[in-house]
Amino acid sequence: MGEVSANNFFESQTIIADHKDLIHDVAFDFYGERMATCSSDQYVKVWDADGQGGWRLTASWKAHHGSVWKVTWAHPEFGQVLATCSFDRTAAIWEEVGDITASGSEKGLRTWVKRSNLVDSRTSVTDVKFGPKHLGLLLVTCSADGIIRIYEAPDVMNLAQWTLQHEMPTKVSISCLSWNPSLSRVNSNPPMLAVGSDEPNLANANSQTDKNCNGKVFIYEHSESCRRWAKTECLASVVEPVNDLAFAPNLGRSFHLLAVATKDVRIIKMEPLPEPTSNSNGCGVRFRSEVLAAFDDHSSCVWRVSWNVTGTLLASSGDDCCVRLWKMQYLNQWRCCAVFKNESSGNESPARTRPRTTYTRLAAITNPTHMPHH
Amino acid sequence: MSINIEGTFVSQKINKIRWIPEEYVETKHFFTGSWDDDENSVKVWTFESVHDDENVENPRELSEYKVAGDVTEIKLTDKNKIAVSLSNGEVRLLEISAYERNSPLREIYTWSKLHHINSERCSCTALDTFEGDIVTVGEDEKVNILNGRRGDVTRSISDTDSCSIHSVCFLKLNEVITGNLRGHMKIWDIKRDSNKPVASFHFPGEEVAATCIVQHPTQPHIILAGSECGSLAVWDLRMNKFPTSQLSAHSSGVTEMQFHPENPNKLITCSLYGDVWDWNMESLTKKSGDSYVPLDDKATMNVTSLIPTLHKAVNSIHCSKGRVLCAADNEAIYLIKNLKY
Amino acid sequence: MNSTRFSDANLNSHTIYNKKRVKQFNLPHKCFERNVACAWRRGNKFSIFPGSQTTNKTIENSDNKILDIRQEISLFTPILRKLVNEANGAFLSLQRASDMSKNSDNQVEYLKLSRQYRSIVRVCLENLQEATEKVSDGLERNSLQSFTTIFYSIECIWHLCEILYIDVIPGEIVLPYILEWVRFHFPCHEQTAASLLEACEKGSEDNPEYWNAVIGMVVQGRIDVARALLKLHSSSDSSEFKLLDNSMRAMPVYNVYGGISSGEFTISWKHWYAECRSKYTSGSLALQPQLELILRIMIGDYTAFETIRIKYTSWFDMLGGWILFTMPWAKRREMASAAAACAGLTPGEKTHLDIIIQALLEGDLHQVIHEMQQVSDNGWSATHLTDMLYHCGKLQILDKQIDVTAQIRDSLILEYGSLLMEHKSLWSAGLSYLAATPPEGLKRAELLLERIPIESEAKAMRILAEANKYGLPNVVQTVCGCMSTRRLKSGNSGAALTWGGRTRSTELCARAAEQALRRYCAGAPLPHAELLLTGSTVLLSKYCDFHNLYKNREFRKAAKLLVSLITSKLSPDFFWETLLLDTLPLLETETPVLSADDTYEIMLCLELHSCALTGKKADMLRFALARNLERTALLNLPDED
Repeated sequence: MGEVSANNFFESQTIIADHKDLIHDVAFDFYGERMATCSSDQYVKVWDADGQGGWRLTASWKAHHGSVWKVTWAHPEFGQVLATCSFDRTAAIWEEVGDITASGSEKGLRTWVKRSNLVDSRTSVTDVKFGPKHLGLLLVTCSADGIIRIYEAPDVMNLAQWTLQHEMPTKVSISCLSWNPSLSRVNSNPPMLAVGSDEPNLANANSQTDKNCNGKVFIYEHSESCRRWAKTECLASVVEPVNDLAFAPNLGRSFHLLAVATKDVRIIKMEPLPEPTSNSNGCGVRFRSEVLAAFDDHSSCVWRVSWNVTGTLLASSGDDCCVRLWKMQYLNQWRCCAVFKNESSGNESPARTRPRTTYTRLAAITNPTHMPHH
Repeated sequence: MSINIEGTFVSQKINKIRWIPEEYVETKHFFTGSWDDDENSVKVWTFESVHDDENVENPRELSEYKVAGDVTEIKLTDKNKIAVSLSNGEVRLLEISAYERNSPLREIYTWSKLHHINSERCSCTALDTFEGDIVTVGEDEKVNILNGRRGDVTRSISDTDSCSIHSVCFLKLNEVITGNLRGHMKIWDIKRDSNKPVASFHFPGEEVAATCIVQHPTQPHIILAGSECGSLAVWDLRMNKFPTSQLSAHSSGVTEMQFHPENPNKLITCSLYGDVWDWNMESLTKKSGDSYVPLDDKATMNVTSLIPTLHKAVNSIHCSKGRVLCAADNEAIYLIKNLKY
Repeated sequence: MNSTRFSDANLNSHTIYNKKRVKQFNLPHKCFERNVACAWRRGNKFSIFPGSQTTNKTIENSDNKILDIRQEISLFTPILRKLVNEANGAFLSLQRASDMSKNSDNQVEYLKLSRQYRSIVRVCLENLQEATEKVSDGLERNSLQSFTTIFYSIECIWHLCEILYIDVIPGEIVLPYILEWVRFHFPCHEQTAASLLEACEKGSEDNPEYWNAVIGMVVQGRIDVARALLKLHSSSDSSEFKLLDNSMRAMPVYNVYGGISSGEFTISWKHWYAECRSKYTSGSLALQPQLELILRIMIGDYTAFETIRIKYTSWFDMLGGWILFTMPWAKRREMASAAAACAGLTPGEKTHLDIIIQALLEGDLHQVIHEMQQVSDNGWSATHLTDMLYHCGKLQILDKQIDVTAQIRDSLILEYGSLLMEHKSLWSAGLSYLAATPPEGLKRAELLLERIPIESEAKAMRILAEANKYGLPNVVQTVCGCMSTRRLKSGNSGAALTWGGRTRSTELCARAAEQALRRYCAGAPLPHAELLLTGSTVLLSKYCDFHNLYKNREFRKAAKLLVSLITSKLSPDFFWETLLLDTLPLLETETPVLSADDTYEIMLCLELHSCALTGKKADMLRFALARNLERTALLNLPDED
């Protein structure tokens, strides 16, 4: 009897992005059927799945006057809406408009209109994220000078009108944001944001650290009674500059999971504590946080972390030019299940001539275990 | 002989299944139309006896005709032609060779982009046929009449600013009835040059989509519609507006209904819940038009279940004499034999 | 090569995990040399792009490529999809059976379902073989053959598992079942034996396979066949043959229903064994080495088994024989030593199948499940077998003294269900797995279900039906919300209202109603009044009522309604002009329908919203209002009912 295990192969398909400079972000829409890319070439491109496994470019436009750092999709309940942020100190809201230009739509091209330009920041806008849909149409931005801004479109049908709801200065450079996606209207948890700082740790940095916490990850929560956002937690376990962070979708757990890209890949469990009884202004300890995993496999700076839809797989990438997939086992254990890396042997895959070959199998570099034998 | 069921897994969710009529022999060829997959197709099948055992018949695929989009309806226009509606807004008229059943289906006409919202294609949700004429309805709130002989669109009615239409049935040569997402039933005179229905009425109670409509084979003024929530309503068109009876029947959406071609008192229905029922409609249709009898209890209707409830939706049924074909979302097709009629 | 080990914190207690290394895949473009980043799509799909968070102009960037990556799922090939759907039916029946038998023992039903799973695999194997014969493409043939190998192994494992854990075995005496298992899955020499017996010629030993066949039959416990074969030997009448035949004939066979106790059987068996042993030690068969080998096998001589090991592909071939000749009374929980003995016949590295079979015999189900997960069937067998054992109550897995049985079973089902949810067509099967493992399954279902692309309303309605079936109101809301918005953006406010109404969302309905009113102002017809039977679209529905009244020439009522609309101040700014101008024809009816008070109210509103209506239109309205006031000032309009 032969070997039964040749598990876990991956297939890949190449898309020529045709950005004239570095790509900074790729974002998929809610359904995973549309893809937006942005780049230092100041362009944003939108690609649509063609239903046969391929991607078709349906829009490409110059969106900013500087590098476009991030692109993100709004929930489809608000229509086809994108937000971008840029080195040019602005964030912008884009909406795809119906096929007014019949000729354009015949060619398969669609029109995106800039609905709003958010110009409040005086420095580069480093991240932009739409809020969970049950909060309405909310947008949060952060900038290099450390100011977090929350905008709201009071009329979801009118994307030209955004009001700046809150402005929260942090005094440190902020690189990344994540909404906690799991809080719905039904439970009493307030809206929550995690922000990460990439402020370098200077030798004489004691002056800038705020009080007793020199952590790089802050939790902000919205207080219904005070109608404002307040910093409720600073995760003491992360003290190196943070490049990216992301809340995992909550699967009915009693705690939140936050992935952090810093010197290593961290998975932090945050368990809400019962309401502090003594302190009325909410300054008590809100969470018990615990580092569930810290993987230094990237052996250098980790740049990005991202969760799959169900929060069961985490992808990380770093300076070692590897993408690693981490999988949750039962009992909340995590282990690496695959590594993707360019093996610099220069084996550029030959151009495919078959018109509909969409996917080709990725070659495994090492597959040391379970060699068949008889 | 007792009822006998054989199932076969076909690796496609089948949305519509139809016998190919035979004149002198027992039917054994049939069409299937698949849905909800990366690739969908209309297939022709035949039943073959296995190991010379007359009682065990397995379906074998004879030909495949690939389509872009879900097959939403298959109806015969004559004994060798079918009209097929697709979720990409197209309708195709296909022909099968009368002698070489395994030769590929021949395309006679294609009405592409028949249904669209602005310039985006949208689903053609249902169609019905009447002596070579085809009526199609779609999510764009349009009713189109196609001529299956000439291949042109003879009439197009738009029921503007309402909502998508999900079922349609020819009442007579110049009249069709449609049912929409809100359970509104409208009768259209297709010869009249007006975008107004000649009559309209609706499912009582909650707003639910009318998923299928059939006309009684011998009493053409009696119309049955099945709803998204599993209820069945019966209207007597001589006194429309209020249904003469409404039955909370299946526990979830009625997917298809068919009166037995040989016995007008026999109705077969299937549902999302995964059941196929055989109704004795005698009590319902014998009633004179002027007595409203609410039949809330399906027990009085004499319903029998034809197959053990499946775990997935039964999308389509088609009966021919004692043989009923069923197609389900578990990617299987079933042949029920020895149905009494 | 470059590979990753786990950090110590994540080491599992099982030693086997330590050895496992992580697979590494090559990204086929140079642009990934310097920068990589990753973005998730739906399911197990994601993109890798040469992403960077800094601008670094020194790199040549024009060659940017994005890799769209997905896991290869063999279960999605059409030939294996039947397996997915059919097993889904069996799985759901099993859940139902287990729900029904919360209190009572239901082993018979479980056994039936276990056999159903096995027959599903068997049908799949038949299909695979049939397809392999037909296919001409070498690559495809290879993949079909590897599927065949995989499912043969699964069939073999499941069958053994059924014997050891699911089947109802009288007296727990497992030998006949093990022999049957060996004969079924490793039918070597059977054909030779059959053809030799059919030919029935003396001197069959000329056939080079003769002795292999005889020994094969002995090892499989088919003693009668072996004896019949020996009769075909040209010197079968010699004393040595007779001697061996006597021993073979006299071998006691245990039968639970045979009327003797197992103790009695053991005594008679030991007696027989001693006799065979003395025959061997006396060297009476020394001149017939093959016969002596058979005798050695019959007395369970380990070296004899070692001698014949090379003739078989695996050690399981000899398992039945080993048990038969060393411990025929063994119960099913006593297989460990036999397994160790037989497995020991094969030195060197073990295959997955070796490990799984041995672990099964040793009763180490944790390892069985762990190894099953490595099988390339995308978790099909691990999930269904674990679930089966779980329901049979045969699974108890401890990890660091914690009972993790339910967690392991749930996590396998969740993985498998989530995997199916990715597939365009199999999502509904996937959903039923997730629904079987609440609460996390339903949470996952919610996330995955609302993200299924909706190409048509039929699909939307199907998703809604499933969401309602499993009680997922958030999915209903999202689907209706997205459909409503989609219709709204394409300018169909009627359909948008319908979808908003389906989830009773005041927000969505208000949005749609507002658009309907705006479009009406721009000259489009009003949505059909029937649309407004429900919903919170008060203004729009009242406004439609007004139109109907006006159309039916009930001017008095129409006027009353219109004035109430104006005075209620429900109207959004853009709609004031329409409302106010609608009063014009009512002011100019032959008999007045608007009272002086009404006229005052309208005048007041006109001045309050002077920006809504300006210029000529406003003047015209003012004039009409004044005239109506003039003719009604002294008139008391009767109230109509």
